[in-house]
Amino acid sequence: MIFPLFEVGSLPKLPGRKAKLAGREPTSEDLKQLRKALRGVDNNPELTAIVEEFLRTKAKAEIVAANSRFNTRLLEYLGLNEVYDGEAQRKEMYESVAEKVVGMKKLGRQVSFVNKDGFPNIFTVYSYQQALSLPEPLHLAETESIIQNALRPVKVPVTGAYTLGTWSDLGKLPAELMKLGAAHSEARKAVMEQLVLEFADIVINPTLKALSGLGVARIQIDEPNASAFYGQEELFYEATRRSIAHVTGPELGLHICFSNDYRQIAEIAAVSELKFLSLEIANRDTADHRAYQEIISAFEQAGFKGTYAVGVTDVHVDNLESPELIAERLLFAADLVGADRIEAAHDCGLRSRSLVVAIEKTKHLAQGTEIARQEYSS
Amino acid sequence: MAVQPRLTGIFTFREADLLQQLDLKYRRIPSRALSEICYEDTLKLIKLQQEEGFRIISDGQRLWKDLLRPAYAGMDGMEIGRVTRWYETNGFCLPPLIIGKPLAGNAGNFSLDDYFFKEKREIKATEVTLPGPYTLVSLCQEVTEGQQEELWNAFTTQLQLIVASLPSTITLVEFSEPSLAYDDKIKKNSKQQREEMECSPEMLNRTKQAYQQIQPIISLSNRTSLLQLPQADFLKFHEIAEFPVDGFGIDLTQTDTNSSQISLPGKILSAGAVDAWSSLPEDINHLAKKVDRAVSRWQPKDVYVTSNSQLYQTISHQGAIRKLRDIAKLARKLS
Repeated sequence: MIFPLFEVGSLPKLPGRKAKLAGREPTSEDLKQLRKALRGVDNNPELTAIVEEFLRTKAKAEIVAANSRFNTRLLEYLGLNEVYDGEAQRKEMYESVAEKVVGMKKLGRQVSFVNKDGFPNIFTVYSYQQALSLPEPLHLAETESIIQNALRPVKVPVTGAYTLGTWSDLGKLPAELMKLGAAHSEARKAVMEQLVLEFADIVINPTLKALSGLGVARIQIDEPNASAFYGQEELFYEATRRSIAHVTGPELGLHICFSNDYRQIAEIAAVSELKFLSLEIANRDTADHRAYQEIISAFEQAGFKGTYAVGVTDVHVDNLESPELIAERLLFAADLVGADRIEAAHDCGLRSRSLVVAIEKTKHLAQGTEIARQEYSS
Repeated sequence: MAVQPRLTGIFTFREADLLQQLDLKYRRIPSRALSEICYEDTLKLIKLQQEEGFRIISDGQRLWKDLLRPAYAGMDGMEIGRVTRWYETNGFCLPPLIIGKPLAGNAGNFSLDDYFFKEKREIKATEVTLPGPYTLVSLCQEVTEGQQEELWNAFTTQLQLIVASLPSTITLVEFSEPSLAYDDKIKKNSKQQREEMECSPEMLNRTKQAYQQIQPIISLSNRTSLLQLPQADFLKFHEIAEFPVDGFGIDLTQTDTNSSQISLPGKILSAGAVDAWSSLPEDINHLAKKVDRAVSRWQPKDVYVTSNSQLYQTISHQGAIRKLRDIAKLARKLS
């Protein structure tokens, strides 16, 4: 089938989860949102049963497990080709790693940006204290539980080393280097490089090796910061190479989003083990769709041979793209490289949307993709 | 010389307030105005500045969302644009998306008062940071060919209008120009040269023209202006020291204070000595020596101390509060 529906990553947590984990009953608004979400999936009996179980249970582990099962089944219901659990067992992409790594210290929450709706996107930042070590590879129990539950092939998202390193507070090392005479920017750059490569060697590579042994279909390395810093492309490439060294089995790929000019990092195409690229593009799309052309052409010129999971819906707005627009974007991308190399995706994970919006966005994605399939075939 | 501590730009929120905002977003708490949460948070920030001896008071620009939006929200021919990286940080901004002929004004329901807690008399900010004209022009999305001059004119007029309409308590207006250094860095590092917006001598000259038009409004309204270059080596842009503003925000983490390449007689030095990119406590003695050196070399008439960029998007709230206290300590040490 052409234009498979691609799973990107996070989903919003089930309404009421926060209250239940704090030992409280979900609010009437939580229950209203749950009912609305279930209506969005035609009150599917299996999803309804999981929600009932979620509402019934009081054990924290069971609450999270029910959320995880719900998300996996939801993605299957919506027609995604591979599934995970919307990262229901993780806090968020950075903290879920940083909190398990020895050598990082939690600092506090930081604003990433304030969205059009006036509400902030936030994350918890950690500081680099000492050489990193990892007691055990990440996400193993989580992935095993999803494999047990999933009816479709499993695709695991893993936060990339470059993003982990560049997202972190660099701690005291830059100041120590400056005392030895290094300039501020040079000191920061040197420590950032050290931290990124430690994440690659000590955290991500062992994790990917362990995950590949579980029989997952795909592993997606999430690198939202891939082109955030000019002049650091080589570090990003090196971190990627080290992260995937000797990882065999699953198909490997990258998810890149909300960075600067992707053309800066197009030479990642030279890492031939990467078989797919998931790219946020809808956020930067215009009427002539030139963003799709500019970005895909850059990776093509750099020699990329794999598939593109092109972002055809914007995850930072509640507005639903029409299925026709989604189809138009997919067909435009297909014209560039052939339909067999295009997968239909959201720009990024949907965790900042409500569950109701996330479901509707994904339904539109599926409808638009179906239109594109029909038009392409005819 | 009395050295004044001050904040620059947006100041990050308390964690509890951030979480409350998210609870509100997901309707986990009863409906309540977002501005009320910002207001309570801002009162605490103002109290802290007063306790630490700040006389230049910032409201943390809590209602601003990002530095750009209030500056263009009232303009015709543009709307809120796409999520875009805020320079080399883990943060983002929503710059203007050009959809027609750009015109300054107060379109729609826009009111500058909405960004200043106008109804709350307890909050009397005396300073504000605005995006500079170069930064506004350079960040615009979907600019058509030949439209750049229209943008310069529209943003210059808009900044004039904003300065003229600021609350009367505000006496210090800082224009932040992060794009100047950033565009220069892109030009030097980019494999895909961005020809449309380079920090060329012509562009610097055009920027100077804009400030020549804005400064008379600053003077007429009895205000003081600063031009800030965050995260930049000011020496690379030393021509800016000739711009018609009352002072300069110079990033002392990036700029060599031993250099005699610039001279600031009759101007204010707003010394960005405290590092907004690190959570570490500062070495106040070391910073004091650095500021002292800059003052003796550059001979400004007045000295403010602050952070090298806004304490927002690069640092958590706890870290930002430590930095605020460090700014105050540094000012006391230097005074």
